[in-house]
Amino acid sequence: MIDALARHEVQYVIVGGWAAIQHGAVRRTDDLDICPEWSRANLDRLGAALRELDAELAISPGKTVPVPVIDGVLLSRMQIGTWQTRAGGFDILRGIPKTATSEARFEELSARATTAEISGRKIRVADLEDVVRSKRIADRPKDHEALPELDKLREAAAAARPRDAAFPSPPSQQLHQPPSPSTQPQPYRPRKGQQTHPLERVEERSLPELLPLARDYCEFNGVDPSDNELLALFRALIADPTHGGVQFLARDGDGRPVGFASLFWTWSTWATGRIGILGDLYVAPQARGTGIGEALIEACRTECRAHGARGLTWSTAKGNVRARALYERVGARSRVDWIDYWLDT
Amino acid sequence: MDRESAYAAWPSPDASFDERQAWAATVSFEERLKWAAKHALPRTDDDTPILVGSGGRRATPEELLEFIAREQERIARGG
Repeated sequence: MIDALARHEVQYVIVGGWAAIQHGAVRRTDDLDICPEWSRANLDRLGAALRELDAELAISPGKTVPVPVIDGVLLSRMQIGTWQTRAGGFDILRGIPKTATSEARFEELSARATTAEISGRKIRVADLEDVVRSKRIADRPKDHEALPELDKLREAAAAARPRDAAFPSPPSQQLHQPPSPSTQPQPYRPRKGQQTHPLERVEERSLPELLPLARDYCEFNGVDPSDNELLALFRALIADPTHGGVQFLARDGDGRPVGFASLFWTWSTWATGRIGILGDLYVAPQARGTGIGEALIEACRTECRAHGARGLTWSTAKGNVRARALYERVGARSRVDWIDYWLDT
Repeated sequence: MDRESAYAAWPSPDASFDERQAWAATVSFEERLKWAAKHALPRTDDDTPILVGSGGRRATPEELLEFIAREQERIARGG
């Protein structure tokens, strides 16, 4: 099942019994439970994986029925879909219980998920706390049965947590610390079927097209600089790309400008060299979910490598779950215990 | 360790938490999944589909057959 999901490039987080087992539980289950990213495109890919696995809908204990066409529309109409495949049980959940009246979906689970490996494939597994909470709220007999073991695992994990994790060193001492080689993210590759987007480096002639996007971006962030101030900033980068930074403009299939990214250069003692700051990343609402955000990040990453920069860093709002899911997809790691500061000068 | 020896080392589903954990600490995630599948219990009534808009209620087999029929009509109409 994991192979089929990988072949069809389905985005998902593993929840339920498999997640509990990954966290150390020894419990009976034959079902793979997943929370997929709930876009039509991803659900279509998931439907293709189910068809490949000869999936039938499990409509009652011991009874399955074939479904003529399993596509994204059908899957989107099932809050929970229970399937039987030739590789085993396969349950697809829109989300897992978060409170009595709400559910945690892919974006939220993904932000806290851990990475594990099975048959040489990397998989994303929901955090133990999410798994335990969902079982406590689901309140089925089988969940009650699982909870004592999961609670013990939580206690054991808490006891084993390094003492210094509770007393982290000040952010200033950790800033821009490069990842260890064992956790280096894999290079981003566009998903199958995902468009590749022609990106161009911003030049003077690009400014009339960049400016409206930058205005939308500023409005989204609740600021209102003048056009002249924005143009002065863009021109400063164009004049000194080696020391200042570069910007990229993305277009849709019809050539319309739909997104941009700003990459600024700085230095890091921890990274012992130059690093890039992803200062801005913006995709127009109508173009979101088409891979443009990923393409812009990858362009900045490539530029960093070409410029000898050791890494790329940026900040985002904690509540911006859509952006955070994108950043997880491209392999970026967040620093959840850190706080950003700003001082007016 | 060959497969037979690996099976012999498997704990019983009724083994205590400590016994199961002692075994789990020595084997891979994949081995634990094999144990889980080997001892899996059949689906129960509370392990069936929930349709969107049903208020979180498990669908009956009849409702699911109607759902599939409606989906078939949608596909026949061109999706």
